[in-house]
Amino acid sequence: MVVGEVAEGIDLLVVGGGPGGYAAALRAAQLGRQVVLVESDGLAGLGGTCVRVGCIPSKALIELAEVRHRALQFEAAGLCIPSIEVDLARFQAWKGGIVEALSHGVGTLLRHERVRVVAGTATFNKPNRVAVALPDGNVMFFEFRSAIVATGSQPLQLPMLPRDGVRVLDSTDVLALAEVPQSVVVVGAGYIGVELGTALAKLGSRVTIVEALRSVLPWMEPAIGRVLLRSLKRLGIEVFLGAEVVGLGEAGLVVRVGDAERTVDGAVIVVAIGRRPSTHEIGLETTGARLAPDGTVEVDASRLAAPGIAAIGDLTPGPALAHKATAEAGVAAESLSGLHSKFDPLAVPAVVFSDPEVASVGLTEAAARALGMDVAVAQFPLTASGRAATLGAKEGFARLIVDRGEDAVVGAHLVGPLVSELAAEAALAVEMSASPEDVAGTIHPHPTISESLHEAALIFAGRPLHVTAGVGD
Amino acid sequence: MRRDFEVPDIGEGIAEVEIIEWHVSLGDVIEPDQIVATIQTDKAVVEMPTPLGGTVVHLGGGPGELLGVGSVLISVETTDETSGPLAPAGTATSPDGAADVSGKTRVETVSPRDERTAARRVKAAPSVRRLAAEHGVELAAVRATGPGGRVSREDVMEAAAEGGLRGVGAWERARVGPDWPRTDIAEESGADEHVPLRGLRRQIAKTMVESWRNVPHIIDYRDVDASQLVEARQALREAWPNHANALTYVPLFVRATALALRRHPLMNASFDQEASEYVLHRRIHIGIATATSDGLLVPVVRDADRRSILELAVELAQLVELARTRTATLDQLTGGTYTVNNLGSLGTSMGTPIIRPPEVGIAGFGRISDRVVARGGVPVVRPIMTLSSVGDHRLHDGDTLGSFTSTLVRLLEHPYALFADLA
Repeated sequence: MVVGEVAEGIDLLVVGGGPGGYAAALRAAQLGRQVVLVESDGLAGLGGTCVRVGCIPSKALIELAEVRHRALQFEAAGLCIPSIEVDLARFQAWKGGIVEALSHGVGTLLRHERVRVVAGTATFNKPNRVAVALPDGNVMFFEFRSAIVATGSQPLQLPMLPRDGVRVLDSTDVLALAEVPQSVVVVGAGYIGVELGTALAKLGSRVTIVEALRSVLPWMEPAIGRVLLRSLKRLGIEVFLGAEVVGLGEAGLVVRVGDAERTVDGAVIVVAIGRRPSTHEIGLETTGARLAPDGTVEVDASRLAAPGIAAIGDLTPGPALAHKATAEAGVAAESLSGLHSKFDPLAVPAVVFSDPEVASVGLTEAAARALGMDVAVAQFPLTASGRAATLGAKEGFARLIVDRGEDAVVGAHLVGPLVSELAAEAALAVEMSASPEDVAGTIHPHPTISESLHEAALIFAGRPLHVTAGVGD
Repeated sequence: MRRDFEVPDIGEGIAEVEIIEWHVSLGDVIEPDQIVATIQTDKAVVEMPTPLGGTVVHLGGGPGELLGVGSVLISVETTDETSGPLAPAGTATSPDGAADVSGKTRVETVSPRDERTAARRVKAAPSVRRLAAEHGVELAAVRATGPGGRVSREDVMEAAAEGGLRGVGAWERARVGPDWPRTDIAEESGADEHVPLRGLRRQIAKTMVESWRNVPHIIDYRDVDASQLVEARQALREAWPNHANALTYVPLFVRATALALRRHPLMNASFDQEASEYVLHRRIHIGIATATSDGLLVPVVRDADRRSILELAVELAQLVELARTRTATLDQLTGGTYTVNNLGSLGTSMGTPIIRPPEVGIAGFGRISDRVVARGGVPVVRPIMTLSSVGDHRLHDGDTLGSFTSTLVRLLEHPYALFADLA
């Protein structure tokens, strides 16, 4: 029907209300663009995976688990609590309050910048046109001058282990649990699997983690995985590495380790093997944008995928992390608005809220060598840190990767308590091409974990204070 | 010994040049073949080298000043004993120097680099990288003077002043949405900025005032049914997918205009008020109004009536790119007999282009958009384009302009004629 297909002309379209989409909408509005943001869940979906079913609620769950765990740990230090009960139903209400407040805040920011939020599912059907399926069943059409696509990603599923939301869960389901399961098998030892497995173990579940690859956090500096593996075991978590999922049996999850098959029992199975860009079935190819086999969108440094169309966040190559999406959002909004802007970070920091925490910034040692750098490595063990001792840290380290040719810090990898907060300092050092001497010459406050970065830099400077280590290469 | 370097005669009847920018200062020690200044002729920007080596003791003028051919551009104090003014490069001193000063600008090609490797090897703070991106400066090409080999803000600004966006060119521009005008919205500071007219902008201002003051314009507006034109363009793209990007509407406009000019020679003419005559040109050279970051340039397609549409498409794409990167030669920017302006590419539906004297006509092609029109007493939707055909009333009256315009409209509405009529 012709009448129904009359398109409304708009200026700049943003698809997706997550940390990429809403940041893009705000930046574009600041630049004077008239922005329409289409989000499948409307105002209720603002904040996206990160705020609603990712970073924020998982940190809430981790915090609850941590408090329970620490309370029990500190019995020996003199803390006496007769019994600790966990009521996940109440947790859900508390978590819901945090999520709604943040999501509402995003809506307020968008309203202040006069961004129009439309609830609906967008499908591109021409280079400058999108169909939006509204919740009431109607379809409306927009013709846009520019578009920023930020539809995010979804949890990957295993074909032999389809999610049913009862026995087989994905990360979103875990964050919505109403009670602590007695036993859990987590498939995948990436950061989501490690975070959820750790939290559930600290809440009282018996947890088993199975991972197809041979290490925990396989894409990180290998030494970090080794520290975490020991730590997971100390928490009572059983870890099977090199374990291939065969399927679900009566008694539990059947996995193959080497030549032997074995059954890992668990009341629920959590599949956390990664995320897939939500680029299918949104008609992106009709805009001239090209998709790689892994579902990511090919973009240039300005994040442009086709004339007038940008893709950001989990849709583009690189780690699926909220802060990467937010950084790309600004670049995309600026590039489409006549400014010259590039996404060219030296480091997209990654943090894992495991126990102990992990922070990874810039190049790993192997990656730096692969780039032909004259690599030197210095590492400060957290056992030599006073603050780490008071936090009860058993092990951990701060490792700096330095390009000696350029006399610049090119990577930093940390595992230990609170190191997630040190990722930013390390990233600043990498982005500024700081010399190790710059870090060594910066006074770090005592007693903090941040001293570990300082100490690693002092090793480079040839004047280590609390260790006798030398520089490795 | 003091030696002078004079503004060379770079041909094309250029009598004076404008100093855009000095790359050296008084007291600097320069080496032979070093680029000392950016100068501009009527059309082209030229990086000017000198064969002199020594200490700079005199500069011929400040930025914005005009220097006649033969006047002293720069003087240096040398240690050798040779005296007297030095011949310009290209005449004796440097056998290959001629190319450097003949009006062909330094060709700056910037290829899209892998962002990670490019960034990896350049030490620059994020604020400096942002500044570089804003000014279209490739960090890898910037001379770093900061501590530890870092690129500083000053280094970037210096590189921007030397080349900057000129080097980025159409490759990056093409990645911006089709309709969004490139204006620096971020430039919002409180104080007014006084910007001296320089270079191309000054030239455009001069030419346009002359035209507006001296040429009585008459304009014939027509609504053109572009249905077949849209189909023809689509068919061309399908026939030559490799040239799909070059096959815009412009080659079709140029070809139609060239054929119409052939049938109406009075429109392919020059008007000379002082000599009280007009010149009918036998050959048809069509200029294409091209927006660049510095202002409007008009590269010229020679013998446009003897080229096929595909040939035109390919040549136009090259010319426009050269113009946008300010690397077109003087030859490519002069000698037009009529001008075509694709207003529609900017979203304009109907414009009033200004004639470029001594030409006597210019055509503006508006945006093709669906409009409701009557066909056989019934309203139908058709892609319509408004054509603005402009004539110099000193030479043309409504009837001569109108008959040229009618021919042009007929060719645009029935574009198969464009394929048939190849001389």
